[in-house]
Amino acid sequence: MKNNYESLYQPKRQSPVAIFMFIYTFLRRFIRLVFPLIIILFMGNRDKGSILDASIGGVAVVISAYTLIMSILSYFRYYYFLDEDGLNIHSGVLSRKKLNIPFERIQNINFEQKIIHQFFNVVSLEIDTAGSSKSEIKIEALPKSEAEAIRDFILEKKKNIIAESGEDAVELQEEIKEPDQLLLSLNPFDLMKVGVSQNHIRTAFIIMGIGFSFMSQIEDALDLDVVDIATENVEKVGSGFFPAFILVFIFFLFISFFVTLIRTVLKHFNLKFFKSKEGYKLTSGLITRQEVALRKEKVQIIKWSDNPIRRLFKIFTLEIKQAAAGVGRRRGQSVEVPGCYKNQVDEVVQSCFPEILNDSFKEHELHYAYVIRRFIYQGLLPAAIMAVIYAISYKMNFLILAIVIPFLSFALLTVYYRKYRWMVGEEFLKIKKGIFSISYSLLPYYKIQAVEIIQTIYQRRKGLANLQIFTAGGSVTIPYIELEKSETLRNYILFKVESSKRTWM
Amino acid sequence: MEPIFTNEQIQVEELPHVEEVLWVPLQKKYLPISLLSTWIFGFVLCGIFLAFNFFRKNIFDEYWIVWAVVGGILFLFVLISILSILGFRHKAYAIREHDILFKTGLIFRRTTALPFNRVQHSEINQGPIERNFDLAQLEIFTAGGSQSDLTIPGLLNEEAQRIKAFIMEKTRTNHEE
Repeated sequence: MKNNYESLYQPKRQSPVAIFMFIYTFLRRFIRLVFPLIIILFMGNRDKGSILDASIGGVAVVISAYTLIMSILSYFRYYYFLDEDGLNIHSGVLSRKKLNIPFERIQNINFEQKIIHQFFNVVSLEIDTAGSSKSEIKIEALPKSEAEAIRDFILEKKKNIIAESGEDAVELQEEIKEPDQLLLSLNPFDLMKVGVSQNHIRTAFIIMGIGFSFMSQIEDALDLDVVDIATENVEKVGSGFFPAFILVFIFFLFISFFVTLIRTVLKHFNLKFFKSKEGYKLTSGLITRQEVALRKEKVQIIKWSDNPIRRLFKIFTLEIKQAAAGVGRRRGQSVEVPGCYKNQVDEVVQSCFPEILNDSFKEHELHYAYVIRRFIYQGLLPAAIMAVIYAISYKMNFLILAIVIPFLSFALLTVYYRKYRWMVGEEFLKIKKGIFSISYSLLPYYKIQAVEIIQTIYQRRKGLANLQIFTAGGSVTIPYIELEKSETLRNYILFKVESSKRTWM
Repeated sequence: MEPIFTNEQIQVEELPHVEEVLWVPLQKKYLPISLLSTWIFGFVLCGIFLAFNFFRKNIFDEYWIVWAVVGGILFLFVLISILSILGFRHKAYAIREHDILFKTGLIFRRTTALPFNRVQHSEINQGPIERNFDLAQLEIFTAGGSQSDLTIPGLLNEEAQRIKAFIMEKTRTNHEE
């Protein structure tokens, strides 16, 4: 076993593919630096064949040459190797940098394969470390087998460190080799289901936003009024603001449908979700293939959600939120597994939080004041604004809005209130919420790292409060509950956290 | 009220109550000092704005606009000052055996509880003005983003040092256990 690792102690260069990555990084950094300058050069009016043109050409050649040379030099001066204490990286062309990452500080090891990686059968290795703000170390390109060897080596070392520090060594050694169990894999048909059941309405709005800003850019460039022309034409079909808007919206919904379908395929292509003894592993992606590993003890919140279409297919989107490494870092915190059936969700929940089987939950509602207060801000206030605009402009559309908004808002708030449940167990807190898409969040008390009770002036008068609960993987808020209940739950959570000696991340 | 939990071994009523804790107010001199730094910032802001107008007269032709903006900024700072004066007496902290509590807010009253065994590390910060008056603020960091980090301002430097040492001691014993 150890012999296989011998070669890892030798300082090694990356795969030559890394040169491309270096070129890319250099160019990106450089372009970001001189971006405004480039715009000025290309936008400004100037004569063809001027000295400026020639000098731009010259500068471009110099930059390209510099980038190429620096990338190649970076490649030749970049070494990585392991020693007894940790992973070492020596790099830098002009100033040499020696980085040592002790094994115990390594939190997570992930692989990523961009299309260029796939072409050469190499991966990039990302290492998350705890405690520092610069928490990500990346080896740009190395053979897959080598990357796996490094990961296995580091994980084994970490285990030994834990064992030495006095935990159950025997048990740990037993669990080293057990094949990963495939929990879920998405075939093209599943992928279609996932794609079809995405939130197209939201995407349509986003695309509409982008679409309009893009159109206004074209407008500026061509000195045209695209939106006016478009609405004019659309208005010939329908009449008035509303039908035109609806037509435009359907158009964007249509686009959004295909965009999300493509995005889903790109992101979740050939998705495989494994369960191992230590945690979970997810591989997915068409152009950029990625492999993310999750450790069980780092999982803070498990969330699963559906929506009307997903309910039809009986599938959920599972989200596993784990503790973020480093300070002030948010990316890579949660892993999304779409297209799970209920039994797969249960499997993950039960393997991650085995105590859930013995827990019984007591359901609680929000206070009805939630609907009333939100209605004032989301229903009456916008309606009043619309009414004022109507009074000034006499446009019927605003009058319709002023009448429709309060009803719509009241209906949505009532549904939200009726469906919201916060469930208190002995070891877990569960929150069910949503209007069209119902989501469940589950978190164990002992992983909570701060509790906050917030009261507005109104809530103080009514004896109500919002309870906000923070974990290392995100926070949840329970709005508008009785102050007394929130305090009881807070005291119970604090008791649970403070009496717990388990590792929580 | 109906009981929230069904747990035979632990009586919820017997759990330690946060509500019964004795709150320690912030240092009295923290209020004037924080107002001072607020107003220094306000005047610097106005100064920069005025300097801009002085050197480049073509931004606003009319003088009344310039003075209206300055007036607006000053009014905003008066408002901030009033809020911090009124809110000051609601700021307090408390240290218990296993956690630290902090409450703040005039309109949004919030009480935060942070167990020591979830603290990553803590820091003491002193601004230039605070240093002259021997004040400091204690920042307590938790894992995963800055959402649940806690900052307690207006402590005596010596007080902050002692709390920090206490927290360090607590987190250390927790890790050893």
